[in-house]
Amino acid sequence: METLSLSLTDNRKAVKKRLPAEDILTFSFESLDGVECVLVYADGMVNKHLLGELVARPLQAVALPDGESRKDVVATTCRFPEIKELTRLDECEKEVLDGNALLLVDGISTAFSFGAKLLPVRSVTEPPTDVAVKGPREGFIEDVKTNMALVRKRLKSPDLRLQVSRIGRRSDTAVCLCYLEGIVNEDVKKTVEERLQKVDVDILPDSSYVAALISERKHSVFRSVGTTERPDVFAAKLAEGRVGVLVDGSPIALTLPFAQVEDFQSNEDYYVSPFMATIFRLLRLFSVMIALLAPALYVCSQLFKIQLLPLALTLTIAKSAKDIPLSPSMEMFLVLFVLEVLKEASIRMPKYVGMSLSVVGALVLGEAAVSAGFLSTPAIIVVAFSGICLYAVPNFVETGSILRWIFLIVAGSIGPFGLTVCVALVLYYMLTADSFGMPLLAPFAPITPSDLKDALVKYELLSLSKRPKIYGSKNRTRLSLKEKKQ
Amino acid sequence: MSGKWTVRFFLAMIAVLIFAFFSNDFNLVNVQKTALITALAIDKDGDKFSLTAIVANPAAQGDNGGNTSEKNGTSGGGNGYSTVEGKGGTVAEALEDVNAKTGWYPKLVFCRLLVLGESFCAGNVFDGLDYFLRNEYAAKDTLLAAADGQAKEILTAKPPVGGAVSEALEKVLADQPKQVGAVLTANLREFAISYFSAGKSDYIPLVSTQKGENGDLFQASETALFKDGKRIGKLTKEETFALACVKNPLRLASYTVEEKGVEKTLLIKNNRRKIQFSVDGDTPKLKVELTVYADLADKAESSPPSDLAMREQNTAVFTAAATSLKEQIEGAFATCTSIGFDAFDAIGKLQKYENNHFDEFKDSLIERLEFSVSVRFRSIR
Amino acid sequence: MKNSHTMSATNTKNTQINARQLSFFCALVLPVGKLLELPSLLTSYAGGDLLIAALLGSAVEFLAFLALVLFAKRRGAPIEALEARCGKPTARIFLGVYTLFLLAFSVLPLFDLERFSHAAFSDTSPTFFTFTPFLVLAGFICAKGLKGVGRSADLTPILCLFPLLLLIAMSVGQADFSRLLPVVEKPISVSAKAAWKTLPYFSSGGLLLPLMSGYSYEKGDEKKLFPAFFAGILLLLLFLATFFATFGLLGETEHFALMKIGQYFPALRFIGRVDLLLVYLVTVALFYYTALPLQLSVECFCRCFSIKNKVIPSAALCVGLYFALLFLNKYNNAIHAFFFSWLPPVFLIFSTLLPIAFLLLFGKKDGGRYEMNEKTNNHKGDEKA
Repeated sequence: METLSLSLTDNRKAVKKRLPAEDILTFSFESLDGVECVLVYADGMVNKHLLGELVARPLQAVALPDGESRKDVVATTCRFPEIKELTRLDECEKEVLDGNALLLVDGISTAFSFGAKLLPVRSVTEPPTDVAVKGPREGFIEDVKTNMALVRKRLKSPDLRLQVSRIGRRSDTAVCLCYLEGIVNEDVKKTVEERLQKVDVDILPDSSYVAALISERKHSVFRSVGTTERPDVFAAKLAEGRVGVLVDGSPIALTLPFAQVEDFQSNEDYYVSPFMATIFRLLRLFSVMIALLAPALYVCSQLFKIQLLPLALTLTIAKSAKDIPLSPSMEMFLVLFVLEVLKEASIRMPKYVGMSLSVVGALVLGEAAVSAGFLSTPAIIVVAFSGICLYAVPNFVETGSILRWIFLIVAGSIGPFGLTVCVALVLYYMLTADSFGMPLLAPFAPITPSDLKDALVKYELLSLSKRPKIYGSKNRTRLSLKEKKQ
Repeated sequence: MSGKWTVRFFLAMIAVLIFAFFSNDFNLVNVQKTALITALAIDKDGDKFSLTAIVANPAAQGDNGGNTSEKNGTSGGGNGYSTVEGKGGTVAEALEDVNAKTGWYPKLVFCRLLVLGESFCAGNVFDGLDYFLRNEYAAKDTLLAAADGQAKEILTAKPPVGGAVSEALEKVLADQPKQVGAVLTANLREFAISYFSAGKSDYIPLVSTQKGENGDLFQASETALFKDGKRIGKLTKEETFALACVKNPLRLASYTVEEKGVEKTLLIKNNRRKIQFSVDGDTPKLKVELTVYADLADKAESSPPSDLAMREQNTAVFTAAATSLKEQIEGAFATCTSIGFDAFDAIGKLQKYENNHFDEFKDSLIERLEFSVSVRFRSIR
Repeated sequence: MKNSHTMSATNTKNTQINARQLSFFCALVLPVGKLLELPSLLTSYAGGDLLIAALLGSAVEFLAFLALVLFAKRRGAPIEALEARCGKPTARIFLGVYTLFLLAFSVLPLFDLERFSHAAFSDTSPTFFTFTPFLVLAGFICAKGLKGVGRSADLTPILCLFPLLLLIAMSVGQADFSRLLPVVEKPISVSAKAAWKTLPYFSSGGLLLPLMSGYSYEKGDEKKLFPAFFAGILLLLLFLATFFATFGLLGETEHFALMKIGQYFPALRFIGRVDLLLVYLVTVALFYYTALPLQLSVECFCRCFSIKNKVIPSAALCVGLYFALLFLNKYNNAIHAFFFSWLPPVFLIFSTLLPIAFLLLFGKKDGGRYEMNEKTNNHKGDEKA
């Protein structure tokens, strides 16, 4: 049967049939006049104490009348802030699996769902991937409700819309679409809604799945969806007219549309002086350029165009690399490979072996390899510096690592010409790539002069009174100073 | 084109490139296998060009002792530098000879110095220098130096403080000696431009060696004069200085003059030069105005504190200096004119500023030129 | 999402290249294409009067630009006007012939770029294989629409302007600008002949004509376009002046002026040839410029034969070019001689006289506007490639 019946026994059996797992527990009790009641819940997901105090105990103390009024009495007796009345079995199943408690009462064909969730979640702490010296220390966690609350805390506006939908045939993951009504670009919002509706997967373990499924460029090295773990950044992006997506089970929130320049911006830029912010942004840009191009240019200067370096430096490098059995390109390839392995291992390894393996990495692979004549010092310096530079922009690390490899391979086989062509190709690709209707290289190509004030250069706050034009927000004014009343 | 096929295409390209990367055979020349020529001496041996190259061989860098390869009985150029000789009917053939002898690819991108021997300068130097103009990869800001005798002897000299001969020579021909008026430097580009210009006159510093206690000392205070690519004369040290005062900006140059029987040295801080060319009727005129900003640096006799304080202008010394320098400039000009050398590129100025008279005067300008020079010394205080 | 609300913030509907982008194109991209062989050629043909020769060539170029802008102001896109007035078959024939012209147009820049790649990017003469990546890039660019042209023009201040100004600044110290005197040394016929011979380099009208299909005139655009074009001429003249001031008559031997001009900056001796990094940056724009006639030829070809997917024609073109270059790259001098001796009239007709003809024949002030129809000209390749 699809709907609940008046018989508690039947209802219990039906629910148990739908939820046969052993962690779905039932708690039976009777009202004052012996009417049987059953609470159905998933073990470990509910606040049993609350259920006991606010549901079971009050019902045990009251007599339940027959007929239609029984339902009303139950509803008023249970002093629970979040109650839903359900008539369908699939709804009951969903509620129990969601971590709510289900109350079945004999003689009523309605079940009551109590929002008594007590899921194991971690506390709100500073996000590890998005650290700021100045600024808030809150980060999103895996619980979407907490995340929604963190957003609501920062945008206390009736225009803030948090639309929750369920995605995942088996995971039934809550996905929350966030935007500010009256500011958001309606086309983008509509597109995201449509794409989310079209998503049909078994499970949705992380927001990256959502990003991949709604993204336009599925085979691209460059992402088309922005990510953040910080509620302040998320709120700021919503206030610019963007759409945000929160996914239950993931601390990474998505924002779109996405412009590549965002990777070079940090929330801290808005908390320090605009001069420092500009310097930091340019520093990040140069760091990325060094990270991507340094290994390739090193190889070019050794194999193709010796003139790139001054004579003294060329001779010094050549002296260091004199007895190395590998050619500069293969040597660089090997060192870069070692760096990537070290990077991956340092993320995966248990903390208690981290120290010793760091020593292995630094001393053995670094110094010993140089002493033994396997690798040369300049190559290690170049790769190490390149590795550090890439982490100046953490969000770009994945893309940057791939590009670095490609540039190295091209430079080692074809030389500076191949490298320049590769750069031109990547640039042209980025020029013509769009993210939800917005160019990836906005506001540089096409140029949006007003938005350049907060791209790589940051103007002072009062100059940024208008929302970025590229997001197509209807309401463009976001900042003004109130005139002094006479 | 679907994204899937685009990805497959680019993956295929990357696979090809990885193959190319590891096969590593696309005319790559590893820096370890190159001979980086830092200086070249060119002599003429009959009809053949004889090259002596100072080569910085990366593979030889850091070895103990100076010489890593001694060829033809020549001495090494210094720690990590070798001296190699080559001969050929053309400069290119001579360089090929270098390659054949050493097994290294000779590269001229870092060649900073060309020393031209006397035998080479007897003919048109561009018979050999053309190679460097044709070569896309040769540096054209190479310094030029001429030598009396064999240029090879200059490059095989032993510098007193170690290091490469070419480095020691470059110091002598660098900006600092130029700014004190000790050397009239020249580089290949400027020399070639002058050769192809209307005047066809240019100069190259004349380098010589002097035996010192710890090694050979280099001097470049004399200047070789070239016309139409051939060496036609030379300027003495004083004439070189005089021309340098007019042609180059000076900084902290010294000028010694005798005034009232006492040698006095002035420190030139700056100079302002003006060379005016005009044609007045039938007479081409070249007027040089030189203002030198200087101060008394030293005297050959002791001075009282009032003199040392330098509160008053030394007009007598300045007048004497101006007179002396004017004579030197006129002397230098006369030396140049006597051999048909266009010291101040008068023909070029005729072409630029008085082009309507160019055809009339171009062949006889040097002889008909009316030269006047005014020199003024001013105190910097 | 096609031409969404966000796109309208930066670009008008159906416009793939706007006035600002066209201005950057004229001011920066067009001069860059002239910085390889043209300086040495003009020095060879005109000596110290190279500036006058360049001015004459630029004047011819400007006539074409003026005609195209006026046409855009009055009637819109020339090819669309031809189609509307003379019918589709005529337009197709025109597009077919124009495709061939654009392929011919692309030859000189391609060959120049191939030799430039050897000189600037290598110390030896590498194999032809090393030029293949450019053909891959060209194929990629050809498969995209005109949208990329406009957006790449937006990047040119970073790619072209700053590096070029830096290169010129680096060379000014070693340059003697008095070498440019006298201003007019030879008879004007010498400069005119030099301009005539090098007319293939002053034929940007040939590129702009099909490009106008992606441009929609808005009121006041000429206030951006004409100053930009003159700025481009000024930049070219400044470069040529600095080049000649640095090399004098020796400039005839200095091929690829772009990489030669800044190399005498004193600091480079100590820090290495960082001017080459600036040259490489400008080369990125040069790639886009060299690929543009190929891109436009694919556009014309696809419009001529109503082919929606640009990928196959682009790939075929690049494969064809690969083999053509493979066999013909030994005949550089012959090709240059052919172009400068026999083809200037062809370039004059297609690049200058044709735009003027469009203006005179179809460009009367009263009349409807002809714009690119998104339905008929929006190829699949634009969206997904």
